[in-house]
Amino acid sequence: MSAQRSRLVAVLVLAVPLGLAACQQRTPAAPPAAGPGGAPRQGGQIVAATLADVSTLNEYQSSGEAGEAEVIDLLFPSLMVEQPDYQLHPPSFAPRLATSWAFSADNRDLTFHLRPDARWSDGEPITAEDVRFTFQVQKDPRVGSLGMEIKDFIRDVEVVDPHTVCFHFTRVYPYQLMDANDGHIVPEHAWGKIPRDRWRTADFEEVLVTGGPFRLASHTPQQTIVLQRDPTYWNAPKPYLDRLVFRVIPDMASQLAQLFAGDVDLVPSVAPQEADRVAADPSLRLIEYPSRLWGLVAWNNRRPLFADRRVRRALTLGINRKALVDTVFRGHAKLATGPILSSMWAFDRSLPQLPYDQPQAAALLAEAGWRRNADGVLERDGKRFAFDLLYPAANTLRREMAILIQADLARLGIRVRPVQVEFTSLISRSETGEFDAILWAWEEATKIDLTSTWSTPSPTQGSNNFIGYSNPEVDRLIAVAREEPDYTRAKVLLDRIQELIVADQPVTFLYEANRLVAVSRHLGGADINAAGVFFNVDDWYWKP
Amino acid sequence: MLRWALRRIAAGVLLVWLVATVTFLLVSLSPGDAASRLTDARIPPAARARFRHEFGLDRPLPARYASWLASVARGDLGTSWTLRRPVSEALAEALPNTLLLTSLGLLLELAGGVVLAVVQLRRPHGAGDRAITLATLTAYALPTFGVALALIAVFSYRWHLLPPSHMLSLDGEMRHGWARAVDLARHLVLPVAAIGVTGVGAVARYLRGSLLDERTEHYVLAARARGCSPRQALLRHALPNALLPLITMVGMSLPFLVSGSLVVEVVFSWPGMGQLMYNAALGRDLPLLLGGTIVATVAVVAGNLLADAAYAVADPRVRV
Repeated sequence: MSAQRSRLVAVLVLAVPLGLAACQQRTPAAPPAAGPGGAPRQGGQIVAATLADVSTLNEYQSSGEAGEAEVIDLLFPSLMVEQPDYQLHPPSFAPRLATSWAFSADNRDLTFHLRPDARWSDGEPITAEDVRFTFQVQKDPRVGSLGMEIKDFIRDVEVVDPHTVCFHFTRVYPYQLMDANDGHIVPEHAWGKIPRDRWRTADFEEVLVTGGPFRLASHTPQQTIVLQRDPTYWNAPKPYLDRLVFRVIPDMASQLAQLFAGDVDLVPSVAPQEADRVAADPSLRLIEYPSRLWGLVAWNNRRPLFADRRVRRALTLGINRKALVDTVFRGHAKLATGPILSSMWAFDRSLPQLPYDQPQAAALLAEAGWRRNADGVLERDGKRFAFDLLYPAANTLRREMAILIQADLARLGIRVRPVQVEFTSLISRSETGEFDAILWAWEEATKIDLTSTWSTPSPTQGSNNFIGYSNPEVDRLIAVAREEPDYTRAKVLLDRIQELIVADQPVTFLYEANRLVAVSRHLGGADINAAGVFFNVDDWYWKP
Repeated sequence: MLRWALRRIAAGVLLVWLVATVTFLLVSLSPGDAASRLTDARIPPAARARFRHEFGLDRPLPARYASWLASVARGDLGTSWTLRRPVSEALAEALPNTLLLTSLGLLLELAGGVVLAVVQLRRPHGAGDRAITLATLTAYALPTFGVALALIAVFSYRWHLLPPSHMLSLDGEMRHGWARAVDLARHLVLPVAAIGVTGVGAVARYLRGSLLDERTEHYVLAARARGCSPRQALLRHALPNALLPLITMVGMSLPFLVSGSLVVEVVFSWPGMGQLMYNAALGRDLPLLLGGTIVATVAVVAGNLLADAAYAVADPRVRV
């Protein structure tokens, strides 16, 4: 599920900036058995900071809290591993539990061959029965897995033999492989005994059987999750690490302080304003890559103030977006252009970037009937151009953005009032449409489907298009593009959609944020990338 | 006495019901619900509707209230929507951690306050008294998070004397018995100090004031006339009477004892009630919020009851 997850990120920076006097002295950790030369060594432990404890280790019970998916991915097997190569084409997959896979001639059946040596932590083999059981769980309304609809086009999963399993699809579409792979395999022999109507509330840690590189050694609620190398793991002698420890530290500034003090080896998300401090520390390494988190100003297209696309374009032209992104993110983000991230294969590289051009913005506003009054504020039919710009409380980056936008638009004669709103209330207001403008952020999936965010909201199926954007041509093209199995042909359609949306400017595209990960120099072999912090955890090792 | 106790308990039960009901209404009527937070763009909004149905959020308010009240009356606080486990279990885990921290903090606050006030009263308005007054006023005015961060900066990162966070070190979690207790004690020092330092000022200033008043009372003068030393008059005669108002203060601190300090818990990664309730409020986790509210209200009612009873024992003028 993790790769497909796309999440509104509320609190990028939780913390009050805390001026902690950090000291570079390090406490020695137990050294692992020496390995030959510079080669990876067996043993040792890495301590990773995490903002919150996991509430469940059963993916199909999870409400998708941050950090939970990572731990689950370390404990449970998936059929394949999604690769971080979506810049070039839709993501490819590498073998994991499945060693190979093939489509039938009509593309409606997908057969996986499972590795015969994979075992659960209790020694039982991981088989095709487990894969089928997992599918049944995913589809069971009593379980109510959040990703249930992802399996909509899979009719059945058939056990061919203990190590061969076949997925039967009801239709052919571009993301069959991704949808088949979605969700981790869970143990039938252990969890099949739990009645499905009890799955929502049962404590699965009591019946925990895992099948990943690590197994759960201990879990102290709200404090520590200790994962221990699983000796029965099929990729032995990997993982090299003996232990991977998650320390719950709910405050980002405390996470960093403990990283500097050497109590923590990995901080998965560093605020841009702290990046220099981490980079300057010789005992630490700062890893930076484009994340799929992007930010925007969501204009309420249903309200008269923002219904005119000339006005929305003027608002974008009137904001010095480049300066805003550079100032707020200190160079750790780039300017966003359109509805598809510039780091993705489907991004239209010929898409024009709207410049910062206040005269043009003023002209567009005048064209739309807005005139400056005696106070210098824009007015039309006796109504002033004034609105509230909402942003989530305690998010310091968004507050900075709101203030910069306020200043830029004031020069055009537009009165903006930045208002912070508690996170859940903010989402509720987006759902009910009680807003003018929101500083919003989406975490984009690797699956490109523009339906939920950019198609005209459907009253029956619900929608994430809370701004009420509606363009019949965009709707039509999105519907065609999502059915197109050939991605080069889909790309042509997606290019056209991007052009139309950028021309409409239903939102002002602001930034595409980089992810900043801080690790100690003790961590060797780590390839941390857009597919996840723990992407190649098998190869991680502890360096003295 | 028995009738008094029964009457008070009945009033207490009524109060708990009232507070829980108001909480229920406030949370239910506040914008957003537990499903609002499932904002995953790729989770079809259908999943949100599904979640609302599963947890009964789509039922009318009176029906939700009735079924909640019925289950509480049966002693069942329900299942947390965010933690997916029984509320009673989550509370049972967090409450002892908070009690340990806050009761020690309160103890430090009281003991420190009494000692400081008595020292001040040895020479009222002297240099020592003024210095302590300045110090306690400063401590009273300091924000808890500032004190907590300063303590961590100095004792953890500058001098490496004490751990900056958590209840146990990674090694400590694997140990048992004595070694574990020592580890826990080391982790307690800074958070307890953070609570104590900011609270001690209030107690000391309060007590100094009431001691100054008591000193000029006739019974203290009489004690001096009978040949008591100033020290004896202060400690044996004035102090016990001056301490009486502190009973009220302690009684009023009980909600803090139970609900904990969010700031201290977040800064020190302490797994207590403050954090639990804060996250429950953010996630609109109604069962968990109500469970915590009920526990805190019961504590307040019990605290007031105990404080009144303690008054009756300590001060013969008070008859219940």
